[in-house]
Amino acid sequence: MIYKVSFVVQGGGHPGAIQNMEKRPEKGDRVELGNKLYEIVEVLEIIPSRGEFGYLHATCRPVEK
Amino acid sequence: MSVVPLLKKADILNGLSGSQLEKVAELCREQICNVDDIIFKENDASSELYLIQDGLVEITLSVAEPGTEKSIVTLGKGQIFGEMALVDEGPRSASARCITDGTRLWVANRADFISLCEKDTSIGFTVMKNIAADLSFKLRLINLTRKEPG
Repeated sequence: MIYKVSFVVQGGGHPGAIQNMEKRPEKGDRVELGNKLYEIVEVLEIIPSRGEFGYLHATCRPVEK
Repeated sequence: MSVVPLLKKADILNGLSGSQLEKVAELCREQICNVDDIIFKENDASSELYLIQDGLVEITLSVAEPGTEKSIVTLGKGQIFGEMALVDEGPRSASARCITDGTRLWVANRADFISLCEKDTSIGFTVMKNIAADLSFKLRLINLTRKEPG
């Protein structure tokens, strides 16, 4: 399964991002968007999966590298 | 290197058979870009669709203050951009700028892509349905971002 994930950063300091991931993101995972590091605080399935693709939304918070 | 394995991981091509993906692959050429390379600018004439193999691309909009741009989304691996040109043939609605060195893109010419979709309407229907879903996904992200305080 490939997960198409939209990321929203808490606090509005980042415009958001979309990228494909081969592992389902989970709460507590860390993800790099550009040159900054974020921690995932919530993952939601926003639309049902289709074929080999899952569609998720992750809320993140900035963390220090 | 064949682009087909990457195309299999691009959701706008979800549902195409191996032979159909080969036809799409024949239209694609590789483009490498580095930090701050401008891929296209808002209001440019549009003729190409892009798929990100690796790296990040920032999509920006010009705002009222001259020379100022607002970032609206960052796109990474497996994402497409420039797809609105495929649908409406209008000028670029936003600018695209590379934000990581060695970002690898696959580029398809709009006219060639439309021609393929018309010749093989099964490809055309599947791709257009997937592009509609991709635009919907992007709108959902914008809606969720707007709900975020700050």
